[in-house]
Amino acid sequence: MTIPLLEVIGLAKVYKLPRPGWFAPHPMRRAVDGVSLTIQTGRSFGVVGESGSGKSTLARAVMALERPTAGAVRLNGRSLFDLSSRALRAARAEMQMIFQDPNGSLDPRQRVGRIVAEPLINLAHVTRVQRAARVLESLRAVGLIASDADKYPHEFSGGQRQRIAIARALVTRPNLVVADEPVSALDVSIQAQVLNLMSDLQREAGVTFFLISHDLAIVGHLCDDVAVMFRGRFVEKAPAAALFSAPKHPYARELIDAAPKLEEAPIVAVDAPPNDEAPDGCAYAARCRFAQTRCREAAPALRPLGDSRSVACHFPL
Amino acid sequence: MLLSVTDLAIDLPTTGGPRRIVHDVSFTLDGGDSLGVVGESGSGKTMTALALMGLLPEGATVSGALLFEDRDLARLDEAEMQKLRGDRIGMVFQEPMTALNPLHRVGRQVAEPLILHRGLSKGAAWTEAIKLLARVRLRDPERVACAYPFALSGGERQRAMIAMALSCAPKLLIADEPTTALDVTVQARILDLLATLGAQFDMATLLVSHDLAVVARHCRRVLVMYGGAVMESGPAEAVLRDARHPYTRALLEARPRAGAARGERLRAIAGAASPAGADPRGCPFAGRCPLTMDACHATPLPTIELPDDRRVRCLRVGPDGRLA
Repeated sequence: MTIPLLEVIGLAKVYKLPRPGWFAPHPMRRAVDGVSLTIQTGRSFGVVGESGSGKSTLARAVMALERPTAGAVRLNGRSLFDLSSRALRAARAEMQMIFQDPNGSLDPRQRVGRIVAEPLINLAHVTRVQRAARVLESLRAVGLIASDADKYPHEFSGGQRQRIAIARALVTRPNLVVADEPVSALDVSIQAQVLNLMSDLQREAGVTFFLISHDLAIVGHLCDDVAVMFRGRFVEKAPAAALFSAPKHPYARELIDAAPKLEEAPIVAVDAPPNDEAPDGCAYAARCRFAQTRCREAAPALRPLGDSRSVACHFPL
Repeated sequence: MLLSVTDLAIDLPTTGGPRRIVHDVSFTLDGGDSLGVVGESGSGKTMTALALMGLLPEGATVSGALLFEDRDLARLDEAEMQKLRGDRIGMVFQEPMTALNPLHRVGRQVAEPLILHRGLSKGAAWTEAIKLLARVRLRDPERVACAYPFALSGGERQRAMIAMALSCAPKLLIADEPTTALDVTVQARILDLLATLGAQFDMATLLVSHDLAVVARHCRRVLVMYGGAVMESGPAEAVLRDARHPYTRALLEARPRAGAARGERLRAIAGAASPAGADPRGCPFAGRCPLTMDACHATPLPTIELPDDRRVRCLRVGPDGRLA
């Protein structure tokens, strides 16, 4: 069997919250709670979830920007958290990240050429001359021209700035690009350009995306496999087409129904989600239309359903 | 008629002289009705909303008539405008974290307009604030009232903002991208809440959004803006089902659809929006539009009136309302 591009095994990240009283213990928040996933080269993987579901924490742990409380991340078979910092820096060349806000992620005082070259600075084997060539190659790949390297970010439109951010991610020729809400800050017409660019990169440059988004349509557009995350756990994981046509988890259903669509009449959502955690039962039980006694007593584990999909629900739809 | 905007134009001062960023925008809004203003960044949608609130940037000049309850908002001075804002006109902004004061408890901020406009005592305003927080269906309104904004979730903050906007039972609510920073399930609830409250309070809603689908779901009428000008307007359902303007069509086609095949080409609109007001003589969409003719660059936009109170502004649209 081939080594997967990315393997996440039982990843957990627990944050200490401030103590409610002087001598009270710190309450703990399990931002990511035992998430496992495998990405094979060429099969982009998307995570959909609401804010606070832990999807960005998951992305940051995958990028080794944050050390998880438990679990492992393996990139091309090597465990990221067992690497020395020097080896980790080199491993970063194989995976790059695109952030949501191109205005926040590009230094306004640096020229585009320098911004795009930045990930190469840590790579000893790339010479200065090669660096310039790589920057050019990268800019071309995202539809910018050589002279753009001498400009500053403010001289570009929002969509072009996100192209610059993508060019920076591509400059190390990574296999895996972690994209956290890459088009959320862009206008619809520009979003389409960037999404088309991202699918071109999948096809032509062999980039595999680990895409984090709140927008199901975008994840469905770019990813082969999709996981729906809720309160730090995957509640459903399935091939994109199967998930969208017939979600098995009630939360996945709710997400799909809540997304504004032009074609259909609205479905009024269940109101006001409670924030209190069910200590034993399913985290979604309080919001779930189909919840039964068992749902409040025992948390369902993610179990396979066949057709390479799995769901964490006692009573899948 | 609650609000009637006629030939609104906004000029912003720039180093190269004043620049017209919004030109000849006209629309009306009846009491209790809802209008969605859709456009991309630079379309002038937010500037139009800010003009109605008297919150345009320093040095901006407004021409045209903005009649609200028979008073021209463009002619009011700042003191008169302040009396209207938060009282007759409620406002909800995109980012509740920046719109709320981080140093004050939420309850105090919701109570503030009541003290300012209604002359309530602090205690009475606080009690009223808790009622309002319950009204926007926040769980445990006492807790929320005592909390600081950072302690609330994004959805809770936006609900608190809405409670603040509604505190004086305004006749017009201007919501500028109220759910853009929120999750879809929360977004659906907030928009439903706005619709319900609009009906309860007999309040008209002007919803500014970049998202056609949001507007389609929640507004009765829609106004599509591009480059500072109105491209098309009419009943939301009709405009979205049967768009007549090439820009509206392009916007509809550029959206990724849930459930479409992976990697399916999106019909991206070529190029980027030119900065608003670059050349107000012609159509701002000329050049990016696949149907551009020479005349599009230089001829002022015509307005073609269609049945059902629909308007299309495009040279390529014939008198029958069809694209030629």
